[in-house]
Amino acid sequence: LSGEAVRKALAGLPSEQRQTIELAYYGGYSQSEIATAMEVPLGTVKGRVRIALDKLRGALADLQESPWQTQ
Amino acid sequence: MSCEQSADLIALDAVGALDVDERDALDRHVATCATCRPLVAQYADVVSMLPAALQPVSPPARLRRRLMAEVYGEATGATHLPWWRRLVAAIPSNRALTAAGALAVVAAVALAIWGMSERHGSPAPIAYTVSGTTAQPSVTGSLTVGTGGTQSILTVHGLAALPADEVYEVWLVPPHGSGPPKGVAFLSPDPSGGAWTAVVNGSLAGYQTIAATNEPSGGSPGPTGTEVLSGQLGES
Repeated sequence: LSGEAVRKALAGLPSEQRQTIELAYYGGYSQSEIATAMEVPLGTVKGRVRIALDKLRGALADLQESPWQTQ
Repeated sequence: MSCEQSADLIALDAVGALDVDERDALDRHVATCATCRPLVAQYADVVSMLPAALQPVSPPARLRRRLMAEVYGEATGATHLPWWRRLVAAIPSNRALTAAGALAVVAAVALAIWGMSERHGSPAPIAYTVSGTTAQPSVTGSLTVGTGGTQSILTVHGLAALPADEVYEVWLVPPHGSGPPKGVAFLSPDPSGGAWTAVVNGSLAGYQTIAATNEPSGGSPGPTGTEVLSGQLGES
């Protein structure tokens, strides 16, 4: 997958989900730090990460030659 | 732990944001749950693609020179060693092991403390206060700089809603006369109706002020709209 494809998939996320992924993965923040900084409950951070990864998985799977291995 | 909770934690773990006190419970659940176990690999697969999104950056010439000097120095056994290596080299050989061992312990403890602070936010990140201008005087907020110093979060309350064709663009402003403001991010409203947030990537070094203006959708090369907030950098 090209960097452009991944950037496009990230850009397709709602901003609050994209920011959460950016902070967690690229910024190295913990879930507690993200919750504090974004002023949202811890559960919201958890949900956003999971939903964002689910969406990225879907978006990137469409671009991959082989289908996702679910099991 | 339910599978729903477990899936949230597996996703968090994949991006490296799992808090340490939830690790044991997650490991116990995954070890016994055939439904959740495949999720570990699935989320890890997604996350393994994220590095591809990073744009290559050329290091500043000074850093490149220093790195290359270090590399050549190591390769040729040059005498330009850092102070601590000269110190170790100066110790008689029969004591070098003890000294090296002591240094290793100090380094390991320092690394452990650094690692913990990197991941768990201690010491506390630096925060700068931002406030509204006369255009929107009720605006309040803060800019929190991560412990790495290369990523910050701007959190703002009280901003007025914008027309669909406008955005709030965030600017880093260097000291007067030393360059134009740099557009670094856009503020996004939280869907729950709370704060507006923006992630500012890159160091704040060399900038004096952070500000935001309303701009046409997509942003502008330089600020053209009304300044709605600002904050001084350098004094937390």
